[in-house]
Amino acid sequence: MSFEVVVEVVLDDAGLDDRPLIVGVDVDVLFGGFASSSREAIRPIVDENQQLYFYTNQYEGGVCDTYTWCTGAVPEQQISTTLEFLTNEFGNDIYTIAADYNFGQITAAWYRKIADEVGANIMEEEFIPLDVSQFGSTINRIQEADPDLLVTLLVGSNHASFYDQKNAAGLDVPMSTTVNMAQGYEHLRFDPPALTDMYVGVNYMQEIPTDQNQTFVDGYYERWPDADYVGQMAQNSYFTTYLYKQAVERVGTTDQDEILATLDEEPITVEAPEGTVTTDPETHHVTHQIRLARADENHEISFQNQQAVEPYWLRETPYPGCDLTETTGASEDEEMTQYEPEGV
Amino acid sequence: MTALLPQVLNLLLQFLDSFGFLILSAVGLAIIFGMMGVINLAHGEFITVGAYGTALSYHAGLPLVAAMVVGVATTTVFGLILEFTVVRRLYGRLLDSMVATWGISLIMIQGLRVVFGSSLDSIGTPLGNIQYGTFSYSTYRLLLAGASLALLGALYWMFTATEFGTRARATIQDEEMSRALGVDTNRMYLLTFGIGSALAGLTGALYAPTMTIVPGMGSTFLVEAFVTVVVGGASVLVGTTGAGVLLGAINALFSNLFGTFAGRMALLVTTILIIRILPQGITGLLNQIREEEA
Amino acid sequence: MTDTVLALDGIDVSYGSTPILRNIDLSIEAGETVGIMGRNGVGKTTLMKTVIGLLSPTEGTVTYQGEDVTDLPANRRARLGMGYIPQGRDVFPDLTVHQNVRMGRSISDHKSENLVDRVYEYFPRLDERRGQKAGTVSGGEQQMLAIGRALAGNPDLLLFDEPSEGIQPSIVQQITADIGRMSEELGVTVLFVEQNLRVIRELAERCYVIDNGRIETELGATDLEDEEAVANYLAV
Ligand SMILES: Nc1ncnc2c1ncn2[C@@H]1O[C@H](COP(=O)(O)OP(=O)(O)O)[C@@H](O)[C@H]1O
Ligand SMILES: [Mg+2]
Repeated sequence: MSFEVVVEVVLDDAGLDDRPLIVGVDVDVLFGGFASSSREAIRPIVDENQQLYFYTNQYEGGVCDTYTWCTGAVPEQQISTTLEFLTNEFGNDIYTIAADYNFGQITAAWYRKIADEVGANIMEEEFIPLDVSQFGSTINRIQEADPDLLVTLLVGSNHASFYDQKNAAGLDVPMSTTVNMAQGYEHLRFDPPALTDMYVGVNYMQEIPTDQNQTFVDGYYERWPDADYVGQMAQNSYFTTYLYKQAVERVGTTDQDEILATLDEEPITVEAPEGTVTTDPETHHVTHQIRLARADENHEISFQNQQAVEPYWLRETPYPGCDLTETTGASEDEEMTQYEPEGV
Repeated sequence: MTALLPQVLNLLLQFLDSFGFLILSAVGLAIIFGMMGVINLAHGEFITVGAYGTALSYHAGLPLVAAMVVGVATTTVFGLILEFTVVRRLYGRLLDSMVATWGISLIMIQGLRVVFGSSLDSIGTPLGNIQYGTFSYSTYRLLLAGASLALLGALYWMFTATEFGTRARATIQDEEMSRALGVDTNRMYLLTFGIGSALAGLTGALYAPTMTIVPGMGSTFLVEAFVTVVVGGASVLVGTTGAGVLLGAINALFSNLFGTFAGRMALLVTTILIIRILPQGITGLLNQIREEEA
Repeated sequence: MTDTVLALDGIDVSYGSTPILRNIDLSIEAGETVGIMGRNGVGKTTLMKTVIGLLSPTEGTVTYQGEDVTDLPANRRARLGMGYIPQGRDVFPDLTVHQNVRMGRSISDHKSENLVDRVYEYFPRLDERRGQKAGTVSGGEQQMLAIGRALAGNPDLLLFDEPSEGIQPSIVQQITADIGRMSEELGVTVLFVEQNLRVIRELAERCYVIDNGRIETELGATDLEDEEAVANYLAV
């Protein structure tokens, strides 16, 4: 049996109150939300209305929610293998500069946690207010600390000035991040050599040199010739649709209870442009193919160290100990929460 | 100790960097405020226009310096048009002027986004860097600090040694009397607004090679500009320069010792304290001292 | 033929809805020195500001050297040759004495020669203080400066608003003499507001008396000789 999946854009610029969207239209499944803030506005409504929801963007991790599936990469996936690789390559001393808000604080905590796990040392962390665009003193302090690796968790256009200023000052140090390139294609938007030696653990970038990906990218540009870049969000939404399709085919209906149940019963695997992706019923996340992407001085991207990485942290016990398979399918008794790494 | 000299140099360079940024951010705003009592909340966007003019003409093939001239000229013309159509009606009406120019700023940000998209290609900082000890510093940024000093010098000259400067100061001190002596004060205001706009444009042009060029980039200058004008008070030269020195030193010291966040906090805390202690800013303090002497 | 330098015709002036001056007619011939007297608050300053153009009349016309200047702003009238010395002097306190004097040069656009050097001949005390901030010199010196500033532009008409007010008597005498000299040597026409009897009698060839926002009386040369009669008008 096969189903035609009808995708309808119900509201393409969802405001923070999406109540009328699912209450009024009675959808089978909800995809969407870009920023974490909109996801966190959507989840309570989804939970209240028992609506199956796929959030497809990369995010800071920790959502454990019986109705929600998060199919983007999370920090433990992006950071664990890449940080191990980078500290082996360059050394153990790490300096972190991060945007001074929720995202920066949490991701910096992730680097702390994983640095601990791989035996690296966070020399110093500096949190930078979002309206700062001048980095003279930061650059000075980094030079003084002389780290082996610079973790940059900078956000927004003010912070984007950092890279040029760092290069102009002659600060020459490999950078590790989770935010750049895969989403905002900064390696194409910023003039080289701004991002020289930036490393980021990605589950997807359009440059991934596989035939499977090439076919996807070609198809994408054929459909949307004016697109600037095929980013991770596009790919995630693409394979997530196929995940959902498989679930529907398995149970032979779009009934939400049955779909939620089958998703919890047995993992689903799809061949995504990034490679094999498998769902993780316990945490409602997915195992991704994580590659370490590097931008060179011409902003050419190369990939190394590809590994399948599970969303392992959420199910660690005793904390956070997320297990959404205790009840097969959704249940009011299961969790609908977001955990943060300890020590944020 | 061998490490001491580079540390002192660090502090000095950061002071110059911070001083330059404060002065260049503030000076256009300060001149317009000092002369006309108008707070131009679109000041940041005037700076953006300067940066856009520079970046667009640079990418169109002009050499950087010529592109900067275009950036300044564009902002000046833009400012003059705005003065003539809107701002002129708002002189002496502080709150009205803030609301109106805020609206202008919103229109400009969205307008730039609609016309030029979410960002322009960056320019890239020229001139390389200087080395000292384990440190290095962008030569261009040193040049920016130099530019701020040169600009203050030029403004000092303009206000004290030229006919225009004398008339401008006379107009600030007694508008009615200036008119009764043949000064076309409307034209004075137009010119002053043009100069303020040109200075904002210059700031945008000078910082364009060091920043990401996006419609909202002006906001990063506005905080510094306000803080400097508030701490400096109404006197453009003495007040603004004094505020630049004071705030630049505090920002450099705290950023150097405790990081960017601390530098920023110190900057704002100092500003709050100054407003409490000296409501008229450094200008007020100097006037007080002068009166006590007299 | 007599040249009328200034003529007001049926001038009404009000602040907001409060009428201050009503139906003022006056005219001054070239080379004349004419006084305006009246008690405090009758509208003398208002009249002077209307002449220079800092206030606009609601009715009537201001004619200057044959030209209707009613709609010209003060800066344009100044450039036609009106030199204004306001009540309270209003020198620019943060400019130097010399800068203040030079500010007057834009008066009388049509004359190429300015009188900056002449100013310092009339007022040697200003010469000594050229580089000093105007806000720091004495009241008498500020009055000299206000006069010098207007004179520097080589005006055809000088408008004085109570030049003797708040100045010590010895200097009043000197300033009165100076005004007389200017009128004589430079041929400049003078309209002045004054409450000081001696100054009026010494300078004025004739005099308008204002009361209640109207011109009450005009005193000719012979009337002005009667000291007591003139004093009466000031005392009313
Ligand atoms: N700016 C003003 N607004 C309202 N009323 C004013 C203003 N200036 C003066 N007046 C009033 O106008 C009248 C005439 O003032 P003024 O011309 O200064 O008198 P004088 O110079 O004869 O003493 C006075 O009653 C005064 O209170
Ligand atoms: Mg008066």
